[in-house]
Amino acid sequence: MTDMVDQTAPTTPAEPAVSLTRGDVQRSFWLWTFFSHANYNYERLQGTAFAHAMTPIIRKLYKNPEDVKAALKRHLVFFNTEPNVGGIIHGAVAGTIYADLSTGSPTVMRRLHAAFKDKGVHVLDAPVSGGVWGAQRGTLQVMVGGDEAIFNEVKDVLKAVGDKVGYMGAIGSGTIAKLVHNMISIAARSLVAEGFTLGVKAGVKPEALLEAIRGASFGQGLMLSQMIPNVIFKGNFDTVRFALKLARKDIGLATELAREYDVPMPMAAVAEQIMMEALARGWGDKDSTSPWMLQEEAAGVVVRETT
Amino acid sequence: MQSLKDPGRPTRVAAVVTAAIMLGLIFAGPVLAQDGESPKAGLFQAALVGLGYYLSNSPWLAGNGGFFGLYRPLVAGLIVGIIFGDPVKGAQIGAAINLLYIGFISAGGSIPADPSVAGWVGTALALAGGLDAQSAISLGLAVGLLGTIIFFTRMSVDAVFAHWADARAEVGDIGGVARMNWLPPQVFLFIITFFPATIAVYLGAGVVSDAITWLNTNAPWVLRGFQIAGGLLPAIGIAMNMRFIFRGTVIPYFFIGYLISVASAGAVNIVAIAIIGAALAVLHVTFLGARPMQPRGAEA
Repeated sequence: MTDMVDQTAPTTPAEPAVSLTRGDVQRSFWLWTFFSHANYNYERLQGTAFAHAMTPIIRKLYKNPEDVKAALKRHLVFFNTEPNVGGIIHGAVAGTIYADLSTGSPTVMRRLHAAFKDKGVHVLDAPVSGGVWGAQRGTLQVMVGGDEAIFNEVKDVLKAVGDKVGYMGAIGSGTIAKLVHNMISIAARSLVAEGFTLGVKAGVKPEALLEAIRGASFGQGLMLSQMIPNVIFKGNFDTVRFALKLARKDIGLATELAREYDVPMPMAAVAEQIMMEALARGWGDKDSTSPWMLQEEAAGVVVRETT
Repeated sequence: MQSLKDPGRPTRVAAVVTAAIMLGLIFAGPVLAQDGESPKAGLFQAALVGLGYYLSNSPWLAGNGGFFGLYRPLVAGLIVGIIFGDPVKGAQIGAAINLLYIGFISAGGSIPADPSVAGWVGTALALAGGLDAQSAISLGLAVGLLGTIIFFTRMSVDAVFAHWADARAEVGDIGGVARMNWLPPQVFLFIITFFPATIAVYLGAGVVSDAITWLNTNAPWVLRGFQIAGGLLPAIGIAMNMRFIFRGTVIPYFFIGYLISVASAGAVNIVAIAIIGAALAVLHVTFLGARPMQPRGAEA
């Protein structure tokens, strides 16, 4: 149900974790199968039937009277579904796996994970990306964090949401991946905006500029398809495909052009400074990707493939 | 198939009650229907019809067993036929009435008519009045529309029991919440289904029977009208059904079935056509995959 997150509210971490048996779940199944429409009514439709089917689960999971009360009230709200296969909703609520497809904070996801565990519920954080466009075509990327065994159990269900479902690591990892993606995607817009304003102000037609950039190396997506896997992941900065000193010359010419046309380009300026620092390290004859190492040094981490 | 665990007390009681009632329906009816050649409704027979109507709306037959079984006029007609000692006639009338509701669907607490009451009470009245299957359709339609009153009453009053359940939840009474979902609503449902249906059959049978006799001698054109209307009304049921299935790649199958029926002048009966249809469905899925029928306006 929509208020599933509220299930964490009555958590008392001191209690030992209880888990549901097959018998509990089957009892719930039969109660739903028989009584889904026993009290069908205009105010809540199958609301009381939902609570009725949850009673064996509530009895098993909650001992504290306040928790019992809260659970009963939580399950007595408006509810309506298809009676024959609708029982799977009870299965999801009672227990097994809760995959959160929203984008939140990884810390909150870790707290939820711990709190749900006491109630026998597994939590995955599974934010999606791909926008409305991707959602309509089922071409979303789902980024999942949590126990890998649990992930494998629900992978096929998540494939109904997005055709690309990836396991990112422990709980919270899905959210981290999503935040990284969105940060890159959003920040890149500013940089692209700088480039297009410069190009157009300096006299290139917008349509022609777009076509040229789409056809060139950036537009072909070579950064993600070639540079990261073949250069960065392998730490292969010494094989020169495009020398740093040549790259520095190009970005320098661009910022010079921007000065000429009064186009402010704060992000490009920062990138130029970083390249100057890399040159000062004596990396002029290394590959133009080598400033990546400066960021690794500053962040205190290296980005290499793990296998 | 895995073994299933004990489903709990209410479910077990339900299963026993269901079995007992079904046996009662099958054996008691014909025994009690033996006196008199033209079927007149005795009180016990009327009560069995009332009980059947209640059961069709109740959760006791594995939940949906009522809705997908006894709720359908074809099934109801057969059982009413057994109760009145003429299963074949009962099934014919039930089937005719069922045609009206072949496209029946209930979603989100709304029904266009009540096929169950049309099947149970309609068949009983038609049998008692000696109506043929064709004319019984008009009777079933009228009764079925009246049945919506029972449905809407139930849906409105049952909201009260949800509040009774709230009160039990407020004191943390798990069993109480469970009970509020079935005990008061089912007692109420029994009252508003069993008694009206029983009374309608018990008192109505004589009235309908007398009315038909009177009409037969004084105004036979009314009965002719019933028959003609009865011939037209199934078109509504079939049209409703076609709204769901007459689309996309399955349209040709409709014409194949229609052509077989017409070209053979009815020699190939509906069961044979259904088997041909099933075979074509297998071929369809085998060669086209599980491509879903395109719902209207869903093209993205």
